[in-house]
Order: sequence, then structure tokens, then C-alpha cells
Amino acid sequence: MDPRPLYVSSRDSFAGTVREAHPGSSPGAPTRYAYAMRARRDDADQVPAEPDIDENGVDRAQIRAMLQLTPEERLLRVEEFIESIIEIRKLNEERPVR
Amino acid sequence: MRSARSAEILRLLARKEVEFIVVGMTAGVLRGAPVTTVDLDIVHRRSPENVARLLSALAELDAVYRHDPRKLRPKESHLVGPGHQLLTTIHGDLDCLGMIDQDRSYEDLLEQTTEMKLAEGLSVRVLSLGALIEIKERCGRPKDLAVVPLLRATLEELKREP
Repeated sequence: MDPRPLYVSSRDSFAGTVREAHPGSSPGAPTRYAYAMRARRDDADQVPAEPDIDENGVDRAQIRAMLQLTPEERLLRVEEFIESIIEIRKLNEERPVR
Repeated sequence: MRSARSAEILRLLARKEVEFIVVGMTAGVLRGAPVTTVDLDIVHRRSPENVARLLSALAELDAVYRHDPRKLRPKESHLVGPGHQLLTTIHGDLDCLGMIDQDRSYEDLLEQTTEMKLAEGLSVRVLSLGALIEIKERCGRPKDLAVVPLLRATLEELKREP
């Protein structure tokens, strides 16, 4: 459980700091509410771009990423992906996940 | 960077001077399509000299028929024909195809290929993306048609590249 107070008073919540000593926290430390609000503000500034999916459901960004690689790197990427799947399947051989 | 297993097969075929074309989804991957495949498909020239070189490479790769419990090895009589030899090797599965797309041989496909450099001193002949799409569409099986939108999108992105 986060020891920081959720809020101290409405004024303090807006100020975003703990005015008085609180168990597990100290005066001047941001409240959890302040943390949450700050995170929300930051998120608003960093809205991910819309994925570049075409009308057939094809991820164009994935294609462009592949095109940045050399032909051998492309082969390697595909093989590593398949090898990782095989590894996961082996791990589940004794107790298969259904 | 470690080497891709299929690149090891291609490297050996090139070293043995085997004349072949990379087709199927490995051609798609080499051309930049983000697809997965677990085997390497090649169409080889079926001249006696080339089949001899291919057999020598296959022996080095310890190739055997992958669906046959007797672990039979491919022979000249198999490779000079138009059929599909589905093999497994020390570097993964390899399909040696005499013909594809109904009746197209190495010679028929040649004009729809270009050489791609895989590494220093290693170039292989790969089917073009346009030809691969045409073949997949003509095959018309659900598994072939499923990848066509992805291959088409890759071709469009390639055309956009400067």
C-alpha cells in the first residue's frame, strides 16, 4: 500500500503537497492525487499516434520497419521469432496451457 | 550478429554454384514482407550438371525426406523431375521444387527474379514480389490468398521508397 496520503485537504490536494508530517511521508512531498493528476497531464501530452493499419488490416509501420533491415537481418528476425515460439511450446509440453 | 539458418543453406548452395531461385514466403521475407515461414523454397535448374551440384550441397546439409520415416535421401532421379522434394537439413527445412505455378521451371521464372546481396560475397536470385503475388493469387488456396494483402502492401511501401 502506498504510504503517501491520498489527500490532506482540498487546498493541499490542489497544491499537490503534504502540509504536515504523515506516516510514511513528509511535509512538502507530493500527494498521490498530485501524482495521478501529473501523470494524467503528461499522458495528455504523449498521446500515441494512430497505428498505420490499412483497409486490409495490414500494419504498414511493421512493413516499413522490415524494409529498414538488410535481407539477412529480415531472415534472422523471422527465425528468431519462430524460435521463441518453439521455446515457449517446449516449456509447455509437460503441462500444456489450453 | 549470428547468421540466419536459412542463410546458411543459401550460403552453401551459392558456394556449390547451384543455380536456383528463392521462391515462396522466404522470397517474401527477403523482399521485406513481415511474414513468418518455417521452410525455404527454391526452384532449381534441372540440368544434369546443376542437379549434381545440388546433390553435393544436399549431402553436405545431410538432407533427407522429412515426411518419410526411412530418412530417404534425395537422388538425381528425384531432382531432375518437376516434382516437389520436401526435405529437412541440419539448418532447417528445404523444399527443392522442380516447377511451381502449374508448370513454370527455373528458366521460365528467371526473368521475374533479381539477385539480392545477402552478405559480403553472397548473392542469391530471388523471385520478385510482384511475381510472388501473382503466383499466390493464381494458386487461390486460402493459405495463399491470406498473405496477398500483406505482400501487396509491402510492394506499395517499396514503391514509395526513394
